[in-house]
Amino acid sequence: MPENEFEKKISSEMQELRFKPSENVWLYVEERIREKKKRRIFIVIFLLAGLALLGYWQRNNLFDKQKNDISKTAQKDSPGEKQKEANSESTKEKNNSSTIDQHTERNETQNTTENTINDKSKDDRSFDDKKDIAVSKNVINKQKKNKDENRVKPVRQKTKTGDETEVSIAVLAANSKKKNQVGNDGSRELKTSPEAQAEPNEVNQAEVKPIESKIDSAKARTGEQEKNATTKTDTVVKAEEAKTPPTPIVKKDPSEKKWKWGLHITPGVSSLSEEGLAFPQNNSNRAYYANPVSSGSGVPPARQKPSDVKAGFAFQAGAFVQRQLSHRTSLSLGLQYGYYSNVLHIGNMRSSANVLFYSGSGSNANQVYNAGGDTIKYTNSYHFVELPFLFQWQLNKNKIKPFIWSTGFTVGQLVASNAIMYDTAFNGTYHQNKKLLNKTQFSVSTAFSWTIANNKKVQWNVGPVANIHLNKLIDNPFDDSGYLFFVGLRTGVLFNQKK
Amino acid sequence: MDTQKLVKECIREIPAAQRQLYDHFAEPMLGVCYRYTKSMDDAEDVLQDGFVKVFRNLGQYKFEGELGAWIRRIMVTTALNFLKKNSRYNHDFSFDNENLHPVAYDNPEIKMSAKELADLVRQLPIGYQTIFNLHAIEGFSHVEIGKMLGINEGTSRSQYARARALLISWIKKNDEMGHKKLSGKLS
Repeated sequence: MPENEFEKKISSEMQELRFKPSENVWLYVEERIREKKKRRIFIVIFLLAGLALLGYWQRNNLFDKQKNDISKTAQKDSPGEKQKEANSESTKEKNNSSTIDQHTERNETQNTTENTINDKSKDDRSFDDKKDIAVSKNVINKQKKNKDENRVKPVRQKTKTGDETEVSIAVLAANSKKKNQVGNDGSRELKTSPEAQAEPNEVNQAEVKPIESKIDSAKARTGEQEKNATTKTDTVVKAEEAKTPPTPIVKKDPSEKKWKWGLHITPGVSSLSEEGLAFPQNNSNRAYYANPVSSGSGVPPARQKPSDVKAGFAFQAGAFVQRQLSHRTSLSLGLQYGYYSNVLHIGNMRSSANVLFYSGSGSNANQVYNAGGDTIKYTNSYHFVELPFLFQWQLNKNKIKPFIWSTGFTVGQLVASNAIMYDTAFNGTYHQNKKLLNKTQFSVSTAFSWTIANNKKVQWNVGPVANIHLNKLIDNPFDDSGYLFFVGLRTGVLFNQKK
Repeated sequence: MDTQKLVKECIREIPAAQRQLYDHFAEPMLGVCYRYTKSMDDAEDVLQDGFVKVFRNLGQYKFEGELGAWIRRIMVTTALNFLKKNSRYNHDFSFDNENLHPVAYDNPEIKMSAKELADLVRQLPIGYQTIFNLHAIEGFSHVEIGKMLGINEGTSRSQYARARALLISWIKKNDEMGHKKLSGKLS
């Protein structure tokens, strides 16, 4: 409450004080309250993109893990299954001939179904009708097994890498050799498809039914024997597994290090925008600067508006270390020097007599320019030391020429600058004011890189980079263009160190 | 004007309602901003920043007290922030711990218009001007002013007393000059 009458009078007089603002004030207010919506949308989109990326990365990791688990179980099952089938056939034929037992033993040692079938087929001719029946049955089974093999093969090939792949290929090659060997032997010539197909054709349907019934009875008899055989083989398989440690699904190259280091240089352009995550806007919309309201007698000179901020040359250069997280993802931490600039079109430098005003406020009193006009092209330059922290994700599957998407954030410290800022004093001037500079900067970046050359020692890559600052570099109440952004073309070299 | 309805429509970001609110309060609020700054351009800068804050924070207005008083409070806060950040003002915007100045109890007659009186207040040094505005016109206590400006109560009292004395002396001089001019014309 006012202390006495004087304060009351003053207060009541001031309640009547009114001025009509210029129309541009409302235009500016309206523009600002609409802009906040746009910025929110950009931030939400950016966050959603980040979440989507994280989710996709996690899904890939989990999915790979599950695939590996499935492959592991498939790897375990397939030899056992084959063993079972081979043994079931061998146990059936035991009843028919003693020679089948010999082949069974051979089959167990060889541990391949094709050999089993081939050996069985070899001896079938010398057997009596029951054996012939068994052969026909075997042929039918063999055709089924071929299908099974075809089904199983892809799993084996996928899950095994390195030496194991070579082993599996060798086994298949060995099998094919043996087939040929059998074919080359004139007396025992057997080619699976033509002769095997001929025999079932010779068998009449009337004979097939009793055959099947006999086979069923043989099945029952051999059922127990089969079980015993499978348990034996299972124990054998388990013993073998116990001896040999479980092999990894994806074998990493032991000579490749998890940590790598590299260098990069990224020339580009930079500028200042009004919004951190929106496109830069032209300052000519600030029409209110041009026509100030007259506050006294006479017509004051028109205030000069701030210059449009033009993009200037910029570059980043530095080193980084990279740690591989998985075969397609990695993290990197770097240390780099960043030079950024933007260009202003301003008027002449003011004489020193007029600039004493600035001397007490940390400003450079010797560098005061008139705003407006196109007399001088002044380059504001900013020198940063930065720490980029990036997450890298290989988008393609090519190990030799990976295509990588990097995203992350950077912390930077402004170490030097010659920037001048707009002020409304003296109808618009530019001068240095280091107090308006926020020296610690946080930015987010995204980049793509294509590998253009890759050898044992080095990997060269190139691609676009975009960097947007999250906090204002220049906190000027008279000019909203304060958020720094940079786009460039990054060229980097990564050193593939081997042990 | 139905304040409640207007505020709700502004919160829903209906452009016509926002314009109506602005039109109703812009002129008196520019007067408030004018008293805290040294130029009309600075006053308009404060006004537009203030209204941006008003529209962004309108959801926090709980209809306790007048809307005009709530907006006025925002304008005063915006003006203070402007003075602290602006290089033209902030080097003078410091308050030394001065010895207590005796308060003069003069109550001269005020024969000036509101604008002339405001211009006189604006001629005070920025520290005096601010404290005078906050205490004499806005009605804040010295304790509240101390919290707002980060100074102690005694400093606020002393600064206010000096400002008041200075202003009264200018008003009296102005009155004398007015009499002289009038007597010159009559004679």
